[in-house]
Amino acid sequence: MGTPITARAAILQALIEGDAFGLEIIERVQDRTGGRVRLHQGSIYPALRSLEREGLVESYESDPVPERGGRPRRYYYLTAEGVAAADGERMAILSLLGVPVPEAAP
Amino acid sequence: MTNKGLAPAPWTGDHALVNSVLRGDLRAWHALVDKYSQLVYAVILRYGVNADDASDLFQTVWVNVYSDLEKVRKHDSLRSWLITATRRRCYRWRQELLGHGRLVRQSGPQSQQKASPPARTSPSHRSDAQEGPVPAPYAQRAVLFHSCVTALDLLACLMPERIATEDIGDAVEDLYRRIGSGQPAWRIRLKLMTTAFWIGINAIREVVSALKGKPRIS
Repeated sequence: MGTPITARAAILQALIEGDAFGLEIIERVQDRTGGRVRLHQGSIYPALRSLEREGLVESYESDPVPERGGRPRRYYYLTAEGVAAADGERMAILSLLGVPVPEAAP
Repeated sequence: MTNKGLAPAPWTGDHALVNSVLRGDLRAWHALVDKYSQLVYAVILRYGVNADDASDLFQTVWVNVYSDLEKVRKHDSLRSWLITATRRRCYRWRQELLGHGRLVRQSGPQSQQKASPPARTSPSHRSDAQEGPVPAPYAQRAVLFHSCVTALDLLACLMPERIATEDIGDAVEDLYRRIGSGQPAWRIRLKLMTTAFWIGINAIREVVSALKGKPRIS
């Protein structure tokens, strides 16, 4: 990545928008940041598996897709802990940038 | 480790394979092309075809096979049918080039092949002469994608199941998009090499994680 944002933080933010598979997460991060943050295929899968081990994301497989040589896609989604972690990461980034952070609901 | 990337072939012979293709089984079609692509290429290369035209001829032969599957099913041997169809296509290619003056008659084995009569024709092969050539860029892309998928399928055999389906599946899809968008072949090959590299690294990391006793994920 070209900016000091970890792959883990970028993945969590990308998954807030909804379920996605590896390539889709890479594209989502690139689109949302206007190309300033790029995840590489070499680093995203270990990060996804690490997040899954920590219980922040879960995954499921789609039906086989012909353009993948008949392999299924593995879609990821945030768990409740993952949503909380994504919110925490976002607050931390906003605070770092000096952006006013909204008060969390009681 | 498993080899989910390459599932065992459920077809017992060519007839079963062709019947599955006729029923619309895409895997059977890929298996058919995999099984005989080397044979078709070998026949094409014996005619002294250059790389561009070889891709064209290769693609055209498979287009013919697909359109003539019903006839192929009734033929005794798919292998001999393929050889005949490929020879006919190559012979026509040589005749067309001679007609356009692009090919100079040569001595040696190639000219002997050129001078040999065309393969026996039969009504079942009539559509071979009706098919027009496929545009070279499409044929080259198709051959390039096929070779990339073959390489990654082989790599998948050595990988844990999760990497074979997820990492390599995404890599195949990425290459499919890149080739479809018209990226040059050298960039695709470079991408294939770097992909093989990071997949290897990821596999090592998975093994190390397992040795450290981290919980496995399915």
